[in-house]
Amino acid sequence: MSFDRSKPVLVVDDTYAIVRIVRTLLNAQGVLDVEGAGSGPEAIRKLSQKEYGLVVCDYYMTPMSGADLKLIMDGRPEWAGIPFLLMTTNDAGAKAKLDRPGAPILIQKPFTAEALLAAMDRAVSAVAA
Amino acid sequence: MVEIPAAAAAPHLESQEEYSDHAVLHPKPRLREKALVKSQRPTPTDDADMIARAERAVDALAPSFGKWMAQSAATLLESVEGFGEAGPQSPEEVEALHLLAQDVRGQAKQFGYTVAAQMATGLCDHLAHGEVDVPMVVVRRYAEAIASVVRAEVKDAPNDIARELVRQLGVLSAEFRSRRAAEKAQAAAAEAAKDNPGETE
Repeated sequence: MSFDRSKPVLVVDDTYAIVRIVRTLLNAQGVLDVEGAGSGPEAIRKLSQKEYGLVVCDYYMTPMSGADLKLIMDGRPEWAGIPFLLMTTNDAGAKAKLDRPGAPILIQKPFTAEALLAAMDRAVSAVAA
Repeated sequence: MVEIPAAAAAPHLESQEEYSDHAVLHPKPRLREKALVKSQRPTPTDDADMIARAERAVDALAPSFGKWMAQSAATLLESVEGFGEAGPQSPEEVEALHLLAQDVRGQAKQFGYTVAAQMATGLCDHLAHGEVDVPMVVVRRYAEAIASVVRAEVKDAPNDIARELVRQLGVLSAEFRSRRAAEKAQAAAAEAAKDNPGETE
């Protein structure tokens, strides 16, 4: 299962290097329309302006975490159906907070292109289920 | 003369209206068909090609990893130095420092800077609960060590000095943690003695 490739992907991370890596991985997989956002509020602004096919978001960000952004998206019917993938490091704190039903699909750094592709599919399946 | 059916003569047409002085041609709508071809899910073979291409594309970025890591490590060290010996004064300030350490940790893991990732993990542990649980001098040691190994382009553990640095930081953390735990236990005992003076006599 794949996300809607006719729509852009939004990569949310306050670290430019990670946005760049994810964009490069997606571009090489034929996903050419990839946009970056440096924070949760910027992501919300972008989501309000355009329809995205997938959101790939870092967990640790300020002023809102990736999990907070997902909660906000779940509260808006027009965003709740967008597949969402959360990037974390292997972190007990994040795991504990995300151990709940309906929690977003996680991908742990470091990730390979193959792992990213598989996680994207899982994120899409989670929305479709 | 053999008459060719209209559909066979012009397969790209859906219909054709003939008038005395002109004809109206209605082409088959093929836009949807073309769009669907473009949005089809790639086959497993395509996936393997794409993954290989993606890995190569990321490899091409490798020369920038060191620069990106150095920038993040420098930002972390600047922030630690900015707080001085007093350290962060509120949970929000601790969280801001924690996020910087997490950024370094995430990048280090992604870019293969294993030693820096280990150090950043140790630092994150000291900042994860809304307070700094060691003196700022220890936090500074972590930030300086991360900046050093990144600057020296040390990625994996085989570097003896880097390994020793990680070990020393671990010892320092454990020492301060046990001291803090002992202080807490002592304070709790003193509090209990104050509440129940008869029991301690």
